[in-house]
Amino acid sequence: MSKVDIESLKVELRRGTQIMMVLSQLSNKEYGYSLLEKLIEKDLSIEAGTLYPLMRRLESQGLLLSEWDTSSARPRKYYEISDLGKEVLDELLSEWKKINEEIMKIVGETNE
Amino acid sequence: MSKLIEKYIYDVTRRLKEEEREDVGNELRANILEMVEDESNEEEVKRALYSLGSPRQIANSYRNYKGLISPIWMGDYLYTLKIVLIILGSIGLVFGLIESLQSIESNMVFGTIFEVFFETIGNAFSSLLSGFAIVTLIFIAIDRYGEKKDDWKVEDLPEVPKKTDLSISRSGSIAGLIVTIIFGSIWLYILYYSNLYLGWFEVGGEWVVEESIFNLEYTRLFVLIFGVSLLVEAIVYAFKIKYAQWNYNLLIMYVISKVFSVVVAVVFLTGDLISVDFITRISTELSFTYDQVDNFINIFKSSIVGIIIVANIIDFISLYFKKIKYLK
Repeated sequence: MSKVDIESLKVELRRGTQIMMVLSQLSNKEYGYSLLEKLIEKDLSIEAGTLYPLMRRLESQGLLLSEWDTSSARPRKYYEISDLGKEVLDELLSEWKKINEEIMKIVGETNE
Repeated sequence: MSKLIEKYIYDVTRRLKEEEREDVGNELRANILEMVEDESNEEEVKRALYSLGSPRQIANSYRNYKGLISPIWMGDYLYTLKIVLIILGSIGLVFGLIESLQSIESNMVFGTIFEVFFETIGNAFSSLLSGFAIVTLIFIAIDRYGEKKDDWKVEDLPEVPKKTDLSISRSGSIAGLIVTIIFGSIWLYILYYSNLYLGWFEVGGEWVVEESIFNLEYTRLFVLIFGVSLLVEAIVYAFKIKYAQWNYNLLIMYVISKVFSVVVAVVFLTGDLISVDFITRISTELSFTYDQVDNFINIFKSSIVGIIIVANIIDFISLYFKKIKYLK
């Protein structure tokens, strides 16, 4: 049993949920670092090295929209959820609830 | 601009596709700059970069990496690769052996052995490489352009293979070692005194050798070479006894010792083995021409070479199906 890497199992479990975290927090425009801070403020654990590539990937899948803001001294790339992203988020959330209920149900059964 | 940040960004983006490098780089730079208050403060920059993780790791997340062959085909790919490589490897070994025997450049026996050995291995290796390339290309094509849906029928399910254990019986190995050493030594002894035991005998009061079959200098030279081959085989037996089951180290040693002993035997047979005097004697005694006898001997030698090669290939294939397949 000692060979089980609990950390990597946790990371794997979290990976799918991070998409929901990111999509849910982008109803208003955010750039990478501001979103990171927002998530950390809400005590959600995600690392910068995970978040930035994830935002970009969601954009390439059409779930996020992006634009460069070059008006200030520091150019920033802002992201915002797309209509498709909203649909996907709803689907994912209801799936998440379902999984949650299922897990609770069977774990509850075995505990009794 | 912080030099450290630029170096970091370069190290990330050089691993990405050309067209996305600039955009990823700009975004990464913007994000990193947000993370540090003062970019001239090297300690602060370092902390930000360490919190991002290694350039390899972050580039990998950006890349949305998909392997050349998707996991769904991986099993079939590895299986096909294994079969094809084994077949090509054996064919490569045989043809490599034949080819290098035809083009021997060295005129020293030792040189010849090394030349043939390495050329054969090299040949087999290059056919393995091309096999690997072809199988991989085919699977990439299947993966990209093949049917996406995965039809299957219960009738197509394979049989459950019989359980095989990889163990090698220690007593068997010990017996093998003893037999190898005894017969090997007898063989070496006969080679060394080939003039006394192998020849055209005249029956007199004692058996008298008139003409030796083999060239004595030649067989004496090979005593040493066969000795090395014998030693290698004994070492493999020793490891068989030590491990008492098949593993990759043992397999590699086994294959090398086999290839080496086959090369030695084949070079021994194809060289200047039979003495001219003996051929002359036979041809006069049996009233054939010298060339007829010489020809006959050559055919005989070639058949033995063929048998040795085929026997060893069969040995290896049966080893594969009985054991190697199940190696983890």
